[in-house]
Amino acid sequence: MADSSVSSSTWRDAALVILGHGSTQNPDSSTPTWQHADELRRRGLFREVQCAFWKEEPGFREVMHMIDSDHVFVVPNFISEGYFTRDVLPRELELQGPVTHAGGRTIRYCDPVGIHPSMTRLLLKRAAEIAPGVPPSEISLVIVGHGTSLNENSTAAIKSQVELIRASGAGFGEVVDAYMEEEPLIARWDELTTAPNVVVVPFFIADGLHSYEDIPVLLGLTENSPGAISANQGEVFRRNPYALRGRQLFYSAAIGTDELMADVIMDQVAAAPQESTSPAA
Amino acid sequence: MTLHPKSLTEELADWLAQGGRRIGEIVILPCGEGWEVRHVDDAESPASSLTAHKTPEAAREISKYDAAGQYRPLKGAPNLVHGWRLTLDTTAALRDALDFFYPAALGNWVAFTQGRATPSPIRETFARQTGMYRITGLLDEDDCRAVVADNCAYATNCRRRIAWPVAAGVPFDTLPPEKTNLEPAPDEMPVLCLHACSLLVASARTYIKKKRAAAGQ
Repeated sequence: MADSSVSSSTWRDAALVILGHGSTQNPDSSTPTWQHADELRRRGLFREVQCAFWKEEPGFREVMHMIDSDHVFVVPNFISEGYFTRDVLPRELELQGPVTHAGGRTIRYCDPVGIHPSMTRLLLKRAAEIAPGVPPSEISLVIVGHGTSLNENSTAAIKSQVELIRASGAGFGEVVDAYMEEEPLIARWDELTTAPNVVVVPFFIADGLHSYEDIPVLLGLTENSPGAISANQGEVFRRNPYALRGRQLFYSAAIGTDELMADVIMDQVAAAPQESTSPAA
Repeated sequence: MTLHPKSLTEELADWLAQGGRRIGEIVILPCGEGWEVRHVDDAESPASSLTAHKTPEAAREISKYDAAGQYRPLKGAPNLVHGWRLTLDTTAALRDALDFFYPAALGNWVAFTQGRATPSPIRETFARQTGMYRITGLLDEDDCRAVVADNCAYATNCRRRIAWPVAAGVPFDTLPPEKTNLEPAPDEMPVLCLHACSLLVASARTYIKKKRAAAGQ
C-alpha cells in the first residue's frame, strides 16, 4: 500500500491523470484504466482524477485542458518502460523531464505501474485466487508477456517480478517468465515447467486479443480460429483448470484488470519525482 | 497560486446561465435543481419513453456503442444512440458526464476561447510522429486536405470542428464551413478538434502507404 503520509495533503489539491494506450478496435482495452480511475475518485484522495489515451478520447494533448488543479500527478497505466513511456507520452504531454513547470502548473511524471515492485502482491494474490487449494509447492507460476526484439525493456518488468516472487518466500515450485514473440516462448510452456499444476498469468494492462485469443492458442487451450474466443471474451478464463499435456493448467485474465491496480497507481504517486529546482516557465 | 480564475464547473455554469444547451448530439435541459441530458432528437419525447439513468458514469456506457452494437472509439462520431435520459443533480455531475459524452470538449472550448490552447497544424502533428506513424510526415498539403476530407466529414464522420490549419499560415479553406465554424449557434458549445486524433493519424499512414505503393515507391 502507498504510505498515506507521503504528500497526501498535496494530493487533495492536485489532479491525478492516468494515461492508457486504449484501442480503436477493442472496447475492453481502456476498461481497467477507467475502473481504476473510478475507484480512486471514490476514495476522494485527489481534487480530480482524469484518464487520457493514445488511441481513444480524451487524447494526451487535451487532457491538461480538462483539469483545474495547479499540481498534476501523471501515472502511465503501462506495463513496462519503453517507447511509450520514454518517447510518446513525454512528447504528447510536452513534458520537460520528471517535473515540468508550464503555464503556472507543476506536472510530476511518475513511473509506469508495471515496473513498481508492488505488482508482486497482485501476482501472488492472482495465483492464489485462480488455483484455490493447490499447494504453491505444486505450482509452476508462469508470467507471460508480449516480448519483442525491438525493445529489451519490454521483458525487464517481468524478469524483475519473477525474481521478486522467487525471493518472496511464497513457496512456488518454480516461477518462470515466457513470451509470445521471443524466447522462452509461451508455446513451450510444458517444457519450461515441471510442476503438476501450471498457473499462467498474462502481464498485460488489459484483456484483449492477446489474452482472449493469442495466448490461449499458444497454450493449446483452443484451436486457432480467429475471432472464436474474442466472441466469448472472458469465457476462456472460466474453464479452469484445463487438463493438457499431462498437467493441470490454470489461465488468468490480464493482471492489469485486478482491482488492486488502483493501489499500484497510488504507489507510483507516492514515489513521484520531487520538485526540481528549475524556475517556473 | 491559482491557474484559472474559475473552475471548469463554474465555466460550465456560466455557459448554461447564458442559455447554453447543446453540445454535439446532446441537449441539456433544466430539471428541478439539476439537469437532464438527452440525445437532441429525443428532446421532445415523453420522459416515460426514455430509459432513465442517474450517474455521470452512465454517460460512458451510453456513448460506448452505437445502435448496431458497434464500438464507438471516436466520441465525435454522429451516431450516439437514442432512447435514454440522464438526470444529474449538480452542475459538477453534468461536467463529469459531458467529459464522457464528448471528452475534453468543455476544457478545450474554455482553453481555446481564453487563448490558452494552441491548435497543432496538421502537418506538424504528422511531422512529430515516430515509430510506425513516422511515415505520415510525408503527406504534403494536398494529401492532408484529401485525408481530412475522407475521414472527418461533419455529417457522417465526426462532429468535432477543426481548429487547426494545414500548416502555419495555411488555413483549411477547402472544408465545408460547418466543419470549421468555431462559433456556431449561441446555445451550442462547439466540440473543438485542437489536434488531429489518432484515428486520423492512422488513416494518414494508410493513405500515404497506398499512394507510395501506387507510385512504385
